[in-house]
Amino acid sequence: MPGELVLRGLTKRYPNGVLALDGVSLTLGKGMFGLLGPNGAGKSTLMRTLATLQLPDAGGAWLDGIDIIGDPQSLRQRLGYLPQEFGVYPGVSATELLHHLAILKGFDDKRVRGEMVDGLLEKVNLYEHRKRAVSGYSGGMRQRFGIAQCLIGDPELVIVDEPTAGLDPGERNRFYNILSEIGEQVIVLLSTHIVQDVRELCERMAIMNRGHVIYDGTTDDALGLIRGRVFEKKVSKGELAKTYQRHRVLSSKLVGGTPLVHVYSDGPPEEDGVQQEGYRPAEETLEDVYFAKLNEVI
Amino acid sequence: MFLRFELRHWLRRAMPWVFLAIVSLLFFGLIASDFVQLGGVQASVRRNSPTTIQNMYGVISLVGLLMTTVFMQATATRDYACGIDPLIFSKPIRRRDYFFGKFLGAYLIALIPTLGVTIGTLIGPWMPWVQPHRYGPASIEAHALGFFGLVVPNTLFTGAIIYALAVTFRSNLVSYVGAMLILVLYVIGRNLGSGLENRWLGGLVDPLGGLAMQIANRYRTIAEQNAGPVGMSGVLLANRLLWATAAVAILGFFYTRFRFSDRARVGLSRWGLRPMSRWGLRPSGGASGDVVGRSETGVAGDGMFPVATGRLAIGGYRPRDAGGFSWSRLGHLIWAETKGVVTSQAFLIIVILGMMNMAGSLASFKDLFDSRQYPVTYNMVDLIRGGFYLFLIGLITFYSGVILWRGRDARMQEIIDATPTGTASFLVAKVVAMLLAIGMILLSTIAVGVTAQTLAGYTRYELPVYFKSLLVLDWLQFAFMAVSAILLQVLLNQRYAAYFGFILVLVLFAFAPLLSGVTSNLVIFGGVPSSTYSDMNGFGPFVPGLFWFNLYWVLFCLLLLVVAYLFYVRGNDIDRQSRWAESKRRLRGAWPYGVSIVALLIGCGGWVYYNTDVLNRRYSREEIEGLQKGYELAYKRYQGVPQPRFEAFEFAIDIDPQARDLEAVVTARARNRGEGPIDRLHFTLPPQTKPEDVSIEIPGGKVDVDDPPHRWRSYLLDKPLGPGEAVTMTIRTKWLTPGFENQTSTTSLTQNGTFFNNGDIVPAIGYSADREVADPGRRKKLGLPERTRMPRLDPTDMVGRGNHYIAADSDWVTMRTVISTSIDQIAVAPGSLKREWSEGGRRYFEYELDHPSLNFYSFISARYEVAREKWNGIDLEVYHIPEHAYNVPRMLDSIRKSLAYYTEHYGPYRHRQCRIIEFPRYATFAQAFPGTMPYSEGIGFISDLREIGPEEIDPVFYVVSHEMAHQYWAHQVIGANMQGSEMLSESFSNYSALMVMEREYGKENMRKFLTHELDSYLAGRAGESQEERPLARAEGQAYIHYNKGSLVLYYLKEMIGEANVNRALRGLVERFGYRDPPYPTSADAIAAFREVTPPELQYLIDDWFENITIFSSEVVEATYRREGDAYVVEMVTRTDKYRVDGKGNETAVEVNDFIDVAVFAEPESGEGLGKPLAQERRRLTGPEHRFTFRVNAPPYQAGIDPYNLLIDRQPNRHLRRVTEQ
Repeated sequence: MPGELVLRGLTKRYPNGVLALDGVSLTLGKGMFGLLGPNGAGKSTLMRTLATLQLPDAGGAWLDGIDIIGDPQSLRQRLGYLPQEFGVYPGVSATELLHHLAILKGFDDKRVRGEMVDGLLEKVNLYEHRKRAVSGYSGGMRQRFGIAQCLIGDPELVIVDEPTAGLDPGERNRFYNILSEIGEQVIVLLSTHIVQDVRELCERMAIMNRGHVIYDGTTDDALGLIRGRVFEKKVSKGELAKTYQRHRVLSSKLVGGTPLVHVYSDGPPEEDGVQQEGYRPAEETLEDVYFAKLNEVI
Repeated sequence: MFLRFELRHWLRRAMPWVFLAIVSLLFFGLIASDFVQLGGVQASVRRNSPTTIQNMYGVISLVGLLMTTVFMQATATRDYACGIDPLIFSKPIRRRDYFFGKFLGAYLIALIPTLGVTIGTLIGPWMPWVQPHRYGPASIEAHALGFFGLVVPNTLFTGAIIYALAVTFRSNLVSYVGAMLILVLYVIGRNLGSGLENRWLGGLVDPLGGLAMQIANRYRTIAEQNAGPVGMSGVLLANRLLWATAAVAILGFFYTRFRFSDRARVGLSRWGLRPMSRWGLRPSGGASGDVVGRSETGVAGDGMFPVATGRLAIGGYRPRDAGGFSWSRLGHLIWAETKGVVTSQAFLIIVILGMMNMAGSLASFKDLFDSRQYPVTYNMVDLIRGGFYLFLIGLITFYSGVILWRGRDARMQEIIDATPTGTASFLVAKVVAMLLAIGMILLSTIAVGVTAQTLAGYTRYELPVYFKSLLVLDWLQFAFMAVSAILLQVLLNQRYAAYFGFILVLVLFAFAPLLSGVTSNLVIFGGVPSSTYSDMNGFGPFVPGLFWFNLYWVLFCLLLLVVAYLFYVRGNDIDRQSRWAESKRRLRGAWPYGVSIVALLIGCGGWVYYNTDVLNRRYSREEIEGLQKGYELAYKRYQGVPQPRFEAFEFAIDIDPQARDLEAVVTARARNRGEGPIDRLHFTLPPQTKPEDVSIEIPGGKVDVDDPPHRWRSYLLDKPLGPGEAVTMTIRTKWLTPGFENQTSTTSLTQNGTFFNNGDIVPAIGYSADREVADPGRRKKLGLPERTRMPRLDPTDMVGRGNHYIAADSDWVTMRTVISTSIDQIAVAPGSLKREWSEGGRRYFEYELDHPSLNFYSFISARYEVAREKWNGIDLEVYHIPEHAYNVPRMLDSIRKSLAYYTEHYGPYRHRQCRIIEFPRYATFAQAFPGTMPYSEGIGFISDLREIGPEEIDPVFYVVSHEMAHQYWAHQVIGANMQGSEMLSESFSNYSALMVMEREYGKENMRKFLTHELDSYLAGRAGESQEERPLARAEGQAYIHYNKGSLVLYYLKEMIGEANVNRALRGLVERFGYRDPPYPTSADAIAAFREVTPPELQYLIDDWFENITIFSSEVVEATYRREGDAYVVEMVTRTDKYRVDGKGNETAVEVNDFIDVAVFAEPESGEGLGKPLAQERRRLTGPEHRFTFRVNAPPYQAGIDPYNLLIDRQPNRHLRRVTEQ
């Protein structure tokens, strides 16, 4: 089926024994797909596998029928990849670097390449800064540069790994605007551990933990899983431990210095059959889904 | 605190201990095994003599530079590299404690491995397999002086530089450059120290003190070297103090610059250096400064980023055939990678350092006696090789890692690897970039070479020679090196392990052939036959071998690249299993390339093998020695057996220079000059022809023994040859050069500059002792009996005096030659040219000797220009190539003046011609044959005499008059084959040349010459491997019969007068010139000298000819006072005199000698000696003397033996500035 990325049973064990992927199967269509998971869940391994940088021990992946594992070269022609952390050759200007990468992606014709590079720089609003060294860019500018290089040659699959780590909110918004635009045309696989991002950007998502996909579906469906079952309460620090013992606590975070706990419960939380005071239904968020899934309460 | 921390940190690491183990093992091997050697080994210096041990501490200082670098760098940059520096620097610590504490810690640790010298050398002598007589007791003093005098200050200095640079710049690279700088100083010191003039300065400049050690040890005899280490004084002490002070100063200076402040600022920029430039390296201190994930501080100036509107307008750009290979993409990659290398600062710094190092030696070329040479291109090439290649190898090592890790260093690798460019393109681009960078460096060395030539006023640049030598031959060698370095980086995928591995490989391939005895260039990586460029002959005989071996290694390296491709890391899978699996996958596409390369490689290797091992034979050293041994064991018994002696030759020689072949038909007549009949003739066949290519036809003789491997053949005569009867034999020799060899074995036959002796084509009659293994150590190893270097001097041994020392099968012979060569060449044989004609496209010459001569002459053919002159009916000719005409007039001048002096003082010259003939520089000597003097193109012909000063020695004039003197001393009077005979040829020729030079240049010029002779003699005797002999008993010891010979005969002449010496010499010519045996010995010469020496000076003959005598004179005090217009100078001197035995043990003897004392005015030129104001020759008895002189002009210096006529190891103490009382 056109415009589809199919993953079947991808498994990867590192030599140190860590099982990074354990039978991951997913199907992605056009649009933004969010991949959530804690550190070490296997997200980056999955991303790098799809970016042809690693081979799985078992399983396969296909983009429009192209065998990613067996024929990485064909995939690379259709791929835009923004790794989690990337650096650049020091002192090289944005234009020069984009030209370099465009050549590596097969743009031999200098005129065409020049037009495209200028277009990309304008697109990500770096045109004014095109002669500056990318190594001197601020974090946000550099991520935009990253997106520009990602888009060289109209990729059909765009993979972005934790792209907003360390960006201030303004830059993050700018970045997502570009990303969502791309998502209208191609498959964008976005990995992040910021749940909010997924809610804002993605229609579909998956949650990974310890190499497994523990949720795969639309964000709305995900919220549906916990609708009406999350309650929140401000507790004192002294009560926190007790709360954890007695309830299925999804998360606790400090709000104004006082812990606010989210508790999963089919109905208003009870203790020994006694309904507890102070709990009120919380507005369900993906974060709750995320923690609920991680904690295997749903 | 930091000191203790460093010590604890390192002592728990493996590294110091591993290094200690390696060093111990190395020095254990050096002292206990014959396989590992360092420099020349002198048989009589004990293997663990105090001086040797002390030297080893000097050696470890150089080797240890690498280890010191590692410790210092790791210590200096560890905190920055692991990013803990903000934590440490925010603690309340003191700058001083941190800076010096860490240094001291690393310094102490860096000393640990050097103790391996102590361990290894103390254990070595106790091994059961060693020869105990080569070892002495361990000398605590030597270890102490070596360790505290050399290692401790050296490590302090090198450590200080490396540490200070690393900690200040927070960059390993900058401190590497510091280490290189130390090497540069070391090399500059060596260069300075190679001449006599600046030796002392050189000794100071070498920061490791090795050269200072050598200078201090230079004149020490074996006995002294065995007795104790070199003391801490003079230049050695000055050197040590200088560099220890420098170390402290460096540390102090950088300490004042050291700050705890943030590392971003403290980089190179504070020092006015830009951070490592575009595409290149960054200082490791800021290793991750460019990575997105970390440096997210604020938004720089583009807060107003309007949200992009509308669709992504960038669609529609699809690459054309993105997956396939494209030349323009490869080209771009190569360009980018090359740019990345050559614009990085480290690259430039290393290149500049190399250039600086090279420039030092490019400034002047030294010939004999420190004189200058024209900077001909091959000299420049050699200097570039010597001065730059170490840096280039360092660069290849370092950049093999840099270039392969460039993407990963910049953290761009994932983006790059995810592009659809082929893996092979990445690898090829990196390799090609490396090769291009090397090529560019070599190109720039050419530019430097050309500049140096221009500055020297020399404009025959010969760019093709530069290109062929540097950009073809050497570039290929470096390319092989680079490919293997890159392959190692790929396979190990660990940069520092690969660096280490590569250095290991380099060392292994440098020493493995020596240790394993493997000689075939087919199995020594990158092995090609060695070659020498000659102005006469180009690359001549080496071309085919070089071509095929290089082709073979190019193919081999292509195969290595295929392997590198299979394992080239792309993406993040770096575990062995995944890489192995990936390589199998890549092999599916790559195998056709691999298979075709292997096929070509086998084909090429087969062709090479066919040439080197089928058409030709390769002999290892062991095989050659085995044959020599076999020859000696089987045929030594024929030595001295009466045989007929050659007396007349007719040669017919046809040379084919292009094919490097010759054929000769020799008709030789030999006569039985003994008293009994001879029924067997024995021959030793020429050394280089195939034995089967030599046939000997003897009327009535048939082959009795034929032993081709040992080149021995005996003939049985039908009718014994009676006393006085002669036999005429016909010898046919073919000397052919089939294909090419593993190492070009002969350069005698060559395209332009064929040069061989009669011994190369005519068998010698009887046993030839010169075929025996000569080296005493090797003889012992082979189980051969001890062999004297020359038969003992015994004037009464008339059998021994039956042969002279050049040949044992002839006396004085006549000869006639018809020699042909290619049409464009001139062939020269001894004697007068009788006829010259062309026939069948070849050129023929007929020569005939005018006077019977020694059976020792040469044949030469090349494209010559001939300069001709006549002097008193004698043809003076110089055969040279057109490019080397510089000194031809000087040579003719020297011949003329030599002939004038020699015919006046020694007697008539018996030939009708004097020829100097240039030959290729495969050998660098000049040699005298009857009427003919072949002279290497590498000396003399390219001496730069344009600006020769009055104080300088004209080496051309000297060499020609020396060779001319041989026309008397060797070619008229030839000594018997006994000790001391070389005095009759070499010492007398040196004396003769000195006399001609003194006439030409004056007495002052002799002083300079004799200073050199004194230095060479003293250094030569210190390096004697067996025993020093008195001049009259010297046995092939060049430092005695040349250098001491000059000193002694010149001194004799100063004492008894030139006329007397020449009277004695003329007497020898009259008595022994061209006379049949018995041949003269040194005793005859001494008797002749005694006759012309007054009784009170007879002691001179005892002291200088028959014994080894050394003086030590010194002006202890020199003062003056004015008395009216006059000056009264008072001088106190001390003189000691020693007799020395063969091992260098000195015994003081009483002084009772005529010695010069003098007072000099200030020299006009500011140096040297001024006008003598008073001068006397006084008989001095006893050691101490006081002299009073009354002079009329202001005195400047006073001296004892001021002209350094006496042999003295400290001639600079003979003069002293006079001070007013």
